[in-house]
Amino acid sequence: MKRAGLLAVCFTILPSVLLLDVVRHVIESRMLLHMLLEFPVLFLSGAAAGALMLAHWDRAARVVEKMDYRGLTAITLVLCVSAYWMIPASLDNSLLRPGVAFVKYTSWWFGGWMLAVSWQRMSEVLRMFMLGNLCWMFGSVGLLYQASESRLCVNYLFGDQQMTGRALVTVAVFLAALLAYRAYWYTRSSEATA
Amino acid sequence: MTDGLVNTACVCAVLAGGFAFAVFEQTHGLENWTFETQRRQLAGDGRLWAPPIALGEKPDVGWVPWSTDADSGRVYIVDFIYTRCPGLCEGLGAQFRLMQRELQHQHEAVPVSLLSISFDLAGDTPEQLAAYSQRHGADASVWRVIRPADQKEADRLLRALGIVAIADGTGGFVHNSALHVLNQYGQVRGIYDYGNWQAALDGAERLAGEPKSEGARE
Repeated sequence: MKRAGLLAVCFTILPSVLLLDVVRHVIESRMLLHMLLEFPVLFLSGAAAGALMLAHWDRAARVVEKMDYRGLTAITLVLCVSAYWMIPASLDNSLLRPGVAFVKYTSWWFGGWMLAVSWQRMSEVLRMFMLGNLCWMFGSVGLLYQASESRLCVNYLFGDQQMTGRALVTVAVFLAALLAYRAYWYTRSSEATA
Repeated sequence: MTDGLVNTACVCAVLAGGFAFAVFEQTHGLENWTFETQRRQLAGDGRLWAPPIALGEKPDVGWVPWSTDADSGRVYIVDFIYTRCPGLCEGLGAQFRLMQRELQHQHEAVPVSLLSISFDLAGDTPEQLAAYSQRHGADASVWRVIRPADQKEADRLLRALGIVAIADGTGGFVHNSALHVLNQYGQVRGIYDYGNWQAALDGAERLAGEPKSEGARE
């Protein structure tokens, strides 16, 4: 338990490495790392902070609960944040305008935090709904990135865009497998209960 | 429970509304999904401006082609290059040569100038810029191959116009290359695709025929 807490603290403070110009530049100069390393790290950091809050300050969680019936708010937030940062112009503007970059960091972090806080309250059907939505979103964006004949972001090379497209499709396939697995166990447990 | 559901519905509606607004804003009404198309839209709307910057070499630094109080009536077709570029910038050079020929053969002098501005201040020495000019037969009275006075000026111009040059991993750069038509005030009045030089030239000539006060920044 202590180890899990330490891990959560580490994840919570992990995005502070982005304050270092060198690290941020290395990550954000590659589309693949920007989308498939920075975004998940920010999201996981928020989730870790949410888990810590649940463990040590559950009164705040009860306040959130009043505005997050069965995790519907969390799901809406996560889907909105994910969709917004799939837009090529959003990626470019986050690199060229500090205000947009700030929104990017906070929105991903807050999305993770919200999901962690509401995960236990969320019904399995809603969890699968979210996974399904993320699955088609990443899959279709990944295919679009690969199908484009020109660069979609002025800050990234064409080859990087293609690679990111393939990686997004891979993530979508992984999410689809996870969804199928959860759906299988959900059906079995429902049958057992019946 | 009902309160919780109502609160949740309200928060979700605000989130969805905020998301729709943000996407609408970001994509300029769901039309421009990439930074480059947004930049071109801004130019089309007359909302993209190049700041007045000093071009040229020390000690003759200080040629400011456009400024808000200019009255030259001159129109500029501008591209951004680096002379070590083996493909695109050489292609742009060939197109500028064609435009130069058209301008030289006009019956009446048209106040249109061609500017190839280098963004690679470290790599493009005055000698290399001169060699690029010579290679493409640039006539300095029509077409100037030049670089900003210093890096600060270069960054200011590139940032304002949304030109991004990134390392291609082989010692060169990849950049959003296009032909920019600017009026005497530095207002970008059109961005044309690389290869569409005839349309850029026609646009510049049309603009040169407009009254001088046209497009002045309020």
